Amino acid sequence: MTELLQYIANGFMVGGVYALIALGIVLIYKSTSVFNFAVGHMMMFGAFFCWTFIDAFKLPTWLGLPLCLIGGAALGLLIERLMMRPLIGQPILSSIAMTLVVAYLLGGIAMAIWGVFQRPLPEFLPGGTLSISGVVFSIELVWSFFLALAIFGILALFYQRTRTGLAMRATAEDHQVAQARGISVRNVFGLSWALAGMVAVAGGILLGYQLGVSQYLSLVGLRAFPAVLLGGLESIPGAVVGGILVGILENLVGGLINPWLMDITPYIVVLLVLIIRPDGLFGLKRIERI
Amino acid sequence: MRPCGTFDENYAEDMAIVRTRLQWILLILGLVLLLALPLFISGPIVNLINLIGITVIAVHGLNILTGYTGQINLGQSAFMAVGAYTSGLLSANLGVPFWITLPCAALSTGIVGLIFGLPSLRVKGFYLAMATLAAQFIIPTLIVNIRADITGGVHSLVVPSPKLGGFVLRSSQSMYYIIIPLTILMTFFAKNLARTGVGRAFVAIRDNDLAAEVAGVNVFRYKLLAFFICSVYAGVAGSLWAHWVRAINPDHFTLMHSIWFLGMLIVGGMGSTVGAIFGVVFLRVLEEGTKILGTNMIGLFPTLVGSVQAALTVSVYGLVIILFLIFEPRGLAHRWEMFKASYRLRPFAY
Amino acid sequence: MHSKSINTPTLICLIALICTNLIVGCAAPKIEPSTKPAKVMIHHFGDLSGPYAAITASAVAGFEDFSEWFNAEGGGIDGIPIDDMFRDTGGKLDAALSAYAAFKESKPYPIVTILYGSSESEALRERFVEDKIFCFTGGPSPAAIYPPGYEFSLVTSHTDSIGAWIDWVTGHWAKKTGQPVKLAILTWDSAFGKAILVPEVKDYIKKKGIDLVYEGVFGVRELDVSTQMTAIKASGANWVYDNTAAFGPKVVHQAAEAMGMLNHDLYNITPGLVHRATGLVGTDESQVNLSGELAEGAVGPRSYASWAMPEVEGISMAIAAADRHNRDVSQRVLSYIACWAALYTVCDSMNTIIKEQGWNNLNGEMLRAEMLKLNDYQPFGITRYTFSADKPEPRDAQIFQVQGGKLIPITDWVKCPDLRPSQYQ
Repeated sequence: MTELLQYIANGFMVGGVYALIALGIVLIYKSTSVFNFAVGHMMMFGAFFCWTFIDAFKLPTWLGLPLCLIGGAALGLLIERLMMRPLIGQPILSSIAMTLVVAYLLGGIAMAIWGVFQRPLPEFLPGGTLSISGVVFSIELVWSFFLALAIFGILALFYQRTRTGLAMRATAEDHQVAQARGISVRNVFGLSWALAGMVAVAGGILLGYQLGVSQYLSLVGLRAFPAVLLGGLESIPGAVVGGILVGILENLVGGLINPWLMDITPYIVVLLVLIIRPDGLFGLKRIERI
Repeated sequence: MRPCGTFDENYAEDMAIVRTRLQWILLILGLVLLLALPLFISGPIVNLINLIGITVIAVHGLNILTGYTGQINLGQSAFMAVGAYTSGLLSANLGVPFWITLPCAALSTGIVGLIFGLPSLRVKGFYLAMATLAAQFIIPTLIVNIRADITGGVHSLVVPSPKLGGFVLRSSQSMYYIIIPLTILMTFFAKNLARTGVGRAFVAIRDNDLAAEVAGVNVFRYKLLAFFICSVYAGVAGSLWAHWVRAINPDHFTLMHSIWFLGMLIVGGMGSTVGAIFGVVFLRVLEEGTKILGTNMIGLFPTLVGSVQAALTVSVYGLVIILFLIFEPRGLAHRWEMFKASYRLRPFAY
Repeated sequence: MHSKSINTPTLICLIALICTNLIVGCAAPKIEPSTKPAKVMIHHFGDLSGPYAAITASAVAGFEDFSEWFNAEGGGIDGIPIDDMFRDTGGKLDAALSAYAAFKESKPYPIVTILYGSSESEALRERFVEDKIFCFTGGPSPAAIYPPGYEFSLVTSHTDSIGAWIDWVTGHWAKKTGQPVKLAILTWDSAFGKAILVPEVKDYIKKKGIDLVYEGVFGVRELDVSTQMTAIKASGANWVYDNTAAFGPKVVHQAAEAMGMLNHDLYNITPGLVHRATGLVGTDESQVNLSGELAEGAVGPRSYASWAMPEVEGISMAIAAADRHNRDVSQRVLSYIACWAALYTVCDSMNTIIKEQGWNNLNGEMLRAEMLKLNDYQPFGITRYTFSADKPEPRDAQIFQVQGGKLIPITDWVKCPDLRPSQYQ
């Protein structure tokens, strides 16, 4: 019984990070209708930034972390301006291919700048473990879970309560109408990518903290795609729920049945979702009319 | 753009792929040259052409599904794995000769492709791409873990060389004479497909599937057919790979390879048979070039022993595809068409 | 004017041409005899961008430093300097094949190569036998080495290495602590990682009275194994053995630490805590550096002396060379040393052949025959090579422990039990 709870607890912790990555995808999809395959690599860049600023340049934490976030925003903006902007109006395959190739390119650039060796991040969160009725929680993981939730809260507030957030929601609904109301759709695109970049970097720092900084962090991003599909591509609460559900499911299957199934559980979930309910749990229903 | 002065007197001429006598002569000369090539070029280049041939077959399949039918396929490499392992297992464990395992591999891969094409009944576009992405992960994992005792699991599966009568075909040159004729054949099939009713149905689905449905094209059936054909091509490519490399491993069939195939298709020009060939040749040669460059760089900067060459290959490759996506989304095939038009129209401007 | 069919004469010529070419294509390539060249080229290829990149990179560094020393002070091959040509395969097999094709065409005809990856070793095995090229490989999988051909392993096989560790843990640790050994194996889901999950090893485990309570894998790029560690905790294991490299052991250390299960003290017995052991390639300075404090107290088998043993002649030579070239800590690892030992052995054998039979007889076949004669050969004391026609792998190792961030041997050189695939024993 304790094992079952332990698996569920592990699932929550890892699901929190998946949810954060899923959020990065949803943010961009909501405004621009582009699925960002490069989110895993942007996350990896975030972890590398963190290592560079705090370990290599030896900046203090209170300066290094915000710099990483700014770096993330810059990365997102750069990708949007240079690579996504020219593709506006092209068929969907172009943008999917573009994000895939951007992911590939980011991987190559990271390899060129930082090399292939793996390094740990310096400790800035308290360590140790917490045991609640036999179920062990690592305090670092608990911190990252709550930090992820905090980021969600901030973003939710931003979208609901601020004018810019409102403008972004309007653009997500309909580009033409938003333009008619005087909202600069281009700026909104840039802003969503910048925000997504920051979220990805935050996720990368948390993940890099848990697992150490290496080029394989980008592969964790792939795990989040099923989370997004499960939750629904346009839904922010869907991203949270999807991420946590995928995390728990993965752990249960891996622990109770066989570890090798852990890798493909998310993808079997994808297939099931596509067959049963393609729009996800909370996504907008797509109705086509001739 | 037609050659100047050609006109058609019947339907067959209208649909012809090769129209003028000059085109026939060039075609035959080109084929003869291609088949005679190993006699006077060195080993590494024959090796490269073998690799290009196998990749061209896989990318033709991808072109049919993604270029003509508009269904994005991120799992072409995994389908190749199915073909490779079918062919490999039949030859290695049951001693079936290569000439039979090839069609078996093609058929089995086609069936697997059909299965992963089933979601196309309910979803399309990007969601279907996710289904193929799922295939890309599920298939290699299954190969590794299900019945690892016969597939070799994570260890390479050793595949025997094809035999022709008494000859064992194992050198680069010998495999060249299996791979290249097959490539030529598959290219011809692909080119021919475009001008048949099936090909027209594919293009109709790509352009507007609702209108196609209204016009009487059974969209689901043709989508499944497209998946089947694409997978058959992948199966053939996989089977050739297995018998050429002779030790296959799920590591040869990753998401990165699938993205490479898609990249080659984009660079070459989607929806064009000759575009697939251009894309593959261009990017494979680029890859060899960066490798040579990287090897020399390690010589010049010994302290930089690290992943410079790998990083260079990846970055250059990624950059090239991005540049093509931004500046020439219709690919090299479009440039080729422009070039042909320029010399055919001469001295007129348009 | 528009002829649409191929005329018969052209068709006949085409078919004739294809037939001639098929016959020509089936003929075997000729082997040129080698003459005294200006330089002896030794080729090597490996993967500089995948999970084993760090290993390959350090080996390449070791190769360069060794060539420099050998040409300057070691006397070269009968006075001729050696030079190396490295190609990065980027982890892709077609790259390895094209590297091999280019290497085969190089002049003078090549006789020896060094490989670092097991999938390349497996794929090129048959080609080495056909082309009679000797290969010393750092990626020894049974599919590559057996049946014995032209590939020799640089290191004791994974199965033999875990066998040596099993001997130590039952012969020494279990006796000293009085505890039965409950083993959990958690390793990479790859050819390399799963090399120890074979029947020969499991039979040996049972034979030595060890209880194998858990067997699990994790992906090579997987960084979080808390699920597997939870299952290990439930199984009641007191030892966790992994057959991984570089950051693999760290991933396992970390999961154990996160669950409060990691035991750094070898002879301390606290129920619920596990001791850690790593396979041959993981018992490596890079793993220790990456894992930091987490690796303290972990043990593992290793068939080469470690950088913390300057009393060994070869190690002090390597330290001097590494200092000369400003090699940093990440390159002072097992693969560097292994490369030195392997290259010296190959060059020494080549010198013997030249002295006894002249340059004309220096080819892959003779080199292999010479290498088969090695029995307890110790290149500068770094390692012990013993090869035989039915087992082209070394058989001696020591058990090391991580103490204060260094790898210190805790046993003398021992012979590993023979855990080859049973059909070759």
